[in-house]
Amino acid sequence: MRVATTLFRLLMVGALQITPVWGKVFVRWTQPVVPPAAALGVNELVLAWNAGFDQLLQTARRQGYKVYVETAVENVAAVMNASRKNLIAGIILNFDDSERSHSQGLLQALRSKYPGMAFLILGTNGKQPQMKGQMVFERNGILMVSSPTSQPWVDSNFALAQFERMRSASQIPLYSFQWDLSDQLQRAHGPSMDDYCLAIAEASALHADLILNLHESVERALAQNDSKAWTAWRQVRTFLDFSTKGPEFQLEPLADVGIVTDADKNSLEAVNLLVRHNIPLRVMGPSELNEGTFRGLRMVIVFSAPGIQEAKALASFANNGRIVVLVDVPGSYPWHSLQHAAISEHAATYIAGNGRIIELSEPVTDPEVFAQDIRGLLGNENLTVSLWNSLTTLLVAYRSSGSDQMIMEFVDYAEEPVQVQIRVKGNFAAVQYESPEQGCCAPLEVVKNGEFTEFVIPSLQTAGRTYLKPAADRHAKFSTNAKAKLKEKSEPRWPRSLLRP
Amino acid sequence: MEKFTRSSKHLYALFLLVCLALFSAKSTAPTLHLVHKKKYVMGTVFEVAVYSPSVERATEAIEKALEEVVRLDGVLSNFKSSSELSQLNHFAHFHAQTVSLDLYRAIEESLHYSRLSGGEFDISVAPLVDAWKAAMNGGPIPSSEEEKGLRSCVGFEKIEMLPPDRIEFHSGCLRIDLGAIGKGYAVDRMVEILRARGVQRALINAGGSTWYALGAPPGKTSWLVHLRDPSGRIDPSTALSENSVSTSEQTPPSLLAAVIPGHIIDPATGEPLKAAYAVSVVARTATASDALSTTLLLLGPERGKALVKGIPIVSAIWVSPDGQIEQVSNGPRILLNNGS
Repeated sequence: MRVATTLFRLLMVGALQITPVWGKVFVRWTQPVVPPAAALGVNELVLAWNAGFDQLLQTARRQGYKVYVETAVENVAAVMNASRKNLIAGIILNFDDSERSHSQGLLQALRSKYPGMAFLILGTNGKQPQMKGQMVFERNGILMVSSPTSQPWVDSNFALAQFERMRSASQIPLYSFQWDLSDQLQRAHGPSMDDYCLAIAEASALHADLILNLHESVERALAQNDSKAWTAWRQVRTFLDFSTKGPEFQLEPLADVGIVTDADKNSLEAVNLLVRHNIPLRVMGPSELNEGTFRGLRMVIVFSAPGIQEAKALASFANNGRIVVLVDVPGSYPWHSLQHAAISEHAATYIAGNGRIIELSEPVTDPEVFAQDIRGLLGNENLTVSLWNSLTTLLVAYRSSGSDQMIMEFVDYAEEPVQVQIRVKGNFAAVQYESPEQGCCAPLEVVKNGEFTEFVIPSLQTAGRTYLKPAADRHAKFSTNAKAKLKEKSEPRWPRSLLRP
Repeated sequence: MEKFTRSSKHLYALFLLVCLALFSAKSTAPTLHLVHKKKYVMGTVFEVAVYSPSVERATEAIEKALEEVVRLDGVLSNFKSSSELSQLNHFAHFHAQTVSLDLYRAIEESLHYSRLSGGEFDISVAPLVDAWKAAMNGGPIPSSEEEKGLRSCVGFEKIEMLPPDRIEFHSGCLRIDLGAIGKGYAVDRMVEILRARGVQRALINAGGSTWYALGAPPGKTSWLVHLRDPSGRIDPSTALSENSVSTSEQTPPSLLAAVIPGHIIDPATGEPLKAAYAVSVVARTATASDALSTTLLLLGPERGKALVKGIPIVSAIWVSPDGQIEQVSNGPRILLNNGS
């Protein structure tokens, strides 16, 4: 018994030392004094390449940080010639949109020239995650425009993270944003701690790296060891801790819809709105279009003109009872010879086998209407995951590779408690809920409803995570032995916090 | 000449006194801080912006006003099964139900607009709204048979108000939806709270569709609100101060669906209203502007203008996607980008 206990303890220690597999929070720092990494709860600090860099680098290293330097490509040689370059953990390169097309080639060249150095590309166009209002604060006053009653507009970085993942497959998406400070008070004191928490929660849910900008007043107060600032920062610490606590097994994003795009601005808001309607999706480049990448998808939306082979793959996908929607990509396609029925002045539908191919003749002008259309086309019964009463909540679902376990990351942008009802396709025996405020983990009541499992998060405030364990009869077709072997081989580990006695 | 000189001296002294008074008033005028807060409630975003000499007092006033909307959501919501309205919809069929003052007032005001519009504005349209909302979310389009059944449930005259606080439905399937007036009612209660707490300059926004202005921003005489323009060419606007504007428009058409549902149902046909224009209405209260914007959307410009002419201090504008406008004014001005 004692041996078993010792072994269990050793396993626990091992589990606790496993490095998290998802995104990190970096903090951009400008003050000459740097608080200890252990106090801030962040391991990665980003410094600008300027006159004070060398001094700040040494201070930050002494305080326990991995230090990244943020600079333009033309300064890389200077950084690499710096006397203390061995203290630098990596170089963050900031390209603008026009330079992104050749950034990968440049990155490869830099990596081969400086093999010991990590180079990261910072995604541009990040925005403050928030639930937006209609008032726009300008220099000369407030701009107000009336409209029909609108659902809350959520600004998220989901599309950006997906586009970055597609553009730079060799690195975890990395983004940053400037705070949108509307009134004098906010400009003076910066965003609220809730806003910092939301930004961390979002990046964590997206499994992306975030460079967090601290407001000057917060940075200075923390540097000066202001006790009030450190008390307020405790709230942010709970989110930083939460963001590093995920499960240790490999996860793949769950998707019902594939988005084919060149990662341009034409599709950015459409993708954001699809996400706001909680349609699970995966973004892919035109060159990735093949039957393998369509696995598990019910629909593919194409924003970028497909070539001959890609068009054939799309036709084959539709033939199998799926839906293809092409948005403003006119061309000569194989399905044009099929039976077709024009359903509106904006679209032509082709019947392909058991499926449909719909060609929209114009770009998406109203992403909200487009997202509702797509949701209607998919049908509620076909969506793997649906949320109710949660217009301000985004869900990102992941499935563990090699098993049916599911992880769901929730972010609520209203920054106040909401009750969220979830319906997920499949038979799940148990759902555990984890949040920054309550830690891990509380069981949620599970209700079976036909081919769906339903559960409710009673009070989601900013961030939450659920672990869904499949019911045993998911593998009923296997023999007991086969099932046991499969379980041994692929059963992923639950998060270490679940293992705690 | 002497008389003139003496009188000039007096005038000059008076002028100096006025300048001095103005200067001292200006130099002692407190700095006004802008405080802005927003909250997700009633399925949308409520926002309040206040100019005040005290950040703390403004913050507290805004928070109280937003708390009031949350409270009213628990009264007026037909989404929340626990709301007072849901309870009324459940129990008031052929049975008088005692309700709170807020619910009674909101329904009473709604019935006023129903009578005014000859039944075009009708809060008893809930069964039809629910059926078409389900269709918008991917459910089946109601058949004509189903629609006929649902229409038999609708009719504001089947709602009996029993003063001071009871309501009875004279139908077995009638249900009330306050979606076309609830936000306006909530905004008016927020205004009362802000005023009671000494706020003199504020702007309230309920989901973009209903705005109310108290006073004006510093250095201005009113709050300028641009109005919805589906054409993008007219840019109508109105200057608000101690009054409200609301906008209504049918859900924009789908690019893909063959049948176009919408969230505004015409009680006369039982189907989603087919109107492409946007209507904005300026009125003294938010309840009035909210109710009237839906009413005028349903009535259309011709009948709508006739209705507005009989209501004091109301103006309205209809703007179509191709830039056609229809206007009626019984007081407040609606400006177009050419200054007219």
